[in-house]
Amino acid sequence: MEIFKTLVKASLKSQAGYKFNFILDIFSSGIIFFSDFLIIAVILTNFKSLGGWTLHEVAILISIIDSGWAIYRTFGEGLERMQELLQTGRFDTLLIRPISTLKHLMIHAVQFRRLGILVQAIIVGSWGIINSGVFSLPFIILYIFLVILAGILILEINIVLAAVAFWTLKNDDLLVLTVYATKTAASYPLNIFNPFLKNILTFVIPLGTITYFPISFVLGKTDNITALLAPFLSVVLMIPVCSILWKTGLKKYTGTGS
Amino acid sequence: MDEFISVRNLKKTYTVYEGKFFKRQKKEIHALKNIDFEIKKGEFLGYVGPNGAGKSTTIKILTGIMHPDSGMVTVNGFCPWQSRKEYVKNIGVVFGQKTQLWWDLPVVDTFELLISIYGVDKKTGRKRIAELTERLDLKEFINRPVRQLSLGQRMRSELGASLIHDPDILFLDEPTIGLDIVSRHGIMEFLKEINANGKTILLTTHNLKEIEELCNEILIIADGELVFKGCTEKLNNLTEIPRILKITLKPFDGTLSEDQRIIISDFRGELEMQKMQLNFRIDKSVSLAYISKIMFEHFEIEDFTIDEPEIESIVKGIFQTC
Repeated sequence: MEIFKTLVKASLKSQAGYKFNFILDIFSSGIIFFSDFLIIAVILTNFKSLGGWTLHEVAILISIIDSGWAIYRTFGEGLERMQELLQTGRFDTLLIRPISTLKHLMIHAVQFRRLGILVQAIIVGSWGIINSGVFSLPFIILYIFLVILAGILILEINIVLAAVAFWTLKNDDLLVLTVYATKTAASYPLNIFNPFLKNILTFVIPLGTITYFPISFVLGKTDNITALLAPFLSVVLMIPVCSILWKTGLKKYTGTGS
Repeated sequence: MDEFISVRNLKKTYTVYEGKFFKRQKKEIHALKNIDFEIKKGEFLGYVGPNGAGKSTTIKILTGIMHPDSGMVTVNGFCPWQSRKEYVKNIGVVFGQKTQLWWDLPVVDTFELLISIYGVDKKTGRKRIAELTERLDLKEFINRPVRQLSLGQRMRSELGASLIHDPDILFLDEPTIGLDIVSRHGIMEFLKEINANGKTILLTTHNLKEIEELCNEILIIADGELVFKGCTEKLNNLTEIPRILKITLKPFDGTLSEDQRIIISDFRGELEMQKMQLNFRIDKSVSLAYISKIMFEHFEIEDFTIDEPEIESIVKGIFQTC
């Protein structure tokens, strides 16, 4: 934790050094995501609802995914760089430190400008929450939990992808396919997709469990309590998957080199 | 407790696949065939060999990055790949080709981060940063992001980073690669000093001059096998490879005086008329200062270069004498 504090302090100092640039960066990364939201908003104002969900309700889903994404992109820079580290052999320098390689990747860099995405997502989320009539203290607590869990789940999915790179040495295409695509898909209500896609978003790349299921329960669209527990289940079940894959990949790396 | 690092029967084979996707052929590359050596505490060992000889593989195994196929390694009582996290607390590593600094942060922040990572207490850490800054002359750029540093500045910072936790052993994999003479000299002086203060150092380099100047022991690896181990002086006697002296003369009409002709024949030189160039092969026994003096006294010299033997030709020389 001490290491992390040192990193956050140092990164903030170096990134906020150019104040105007820093603010502009935060602002622009927020705007990019907001424009994505606007497109959906425009479509939905014409169609009134999407799979029985109003624009306000969909806004909640989007805000959870985007916040989680913002958290991951702020702290997960090392995982994002995995392909580069392996190809240049710089991954070796992680192994000469007395901490685990995953921990080392987490302290690779902190990108504060990604927090613009978080600000944007919270604004969209607040708008959705207030207008869909679910505003209450318990809901806000659940919402905060879901945002944090979304950050962790996206992190876990990226650990799996980074581990795959131990074998393939390349994971950028896979990253686009599995993370970017599913991230967008999981910001819509899953019932609009065919069962195959819905199952993928529930069981394979379980981003849907963090948005669609718990919010369905809160909005009274389902009374199955499992829906509310889904986010916790998927985050916990991903832990051994990440751990085993990472350890096996690392073993392969130290066994054969790059 | 005499042997600080001991390496026994170390073997490593890589499997590579060649050819097209469907008709892949398995090929085995024996990177290390059967390596044995030991390093005593306080020693400065030079580890040389041509490219692809197995130097980096050895360093990777000794630093715990890679597991060997078979063999035993103990460094200060540890097996590098079995208790990696414990083991690396007492070693420092510099890879000339791969930075270990935080690219976007100032050098001083890398030092601070490493202090936290190694669990060095704050007070000791501050003191060490101050010492290293002073000794490696980092003051001028320590607050600049690493990506803005010159190679020489970066390499000094890398050395600082490898010493922040005060390890007993240093592994340096081509730390002077690509550096200019001044930076190279500064780093060599620094290494000499920390070795004198008790650090055990293993250095790989292509530059034999560095080895001769710094190391008391030398290991030569070629094709995955050690072809020479011993003290540096012994190597010089073993390989009687002459240095090549090339002298470009100032333009003249091509006639040589009697004295000049005698000198050329005495030192078994040859004159290339077209390039106006004199070539000599100088044995190790002849002093360069002596021969240079004679040349400058008798010839009008435009340019003067000495080619030291390359590591490749030394390795070849060893094979021929064995």
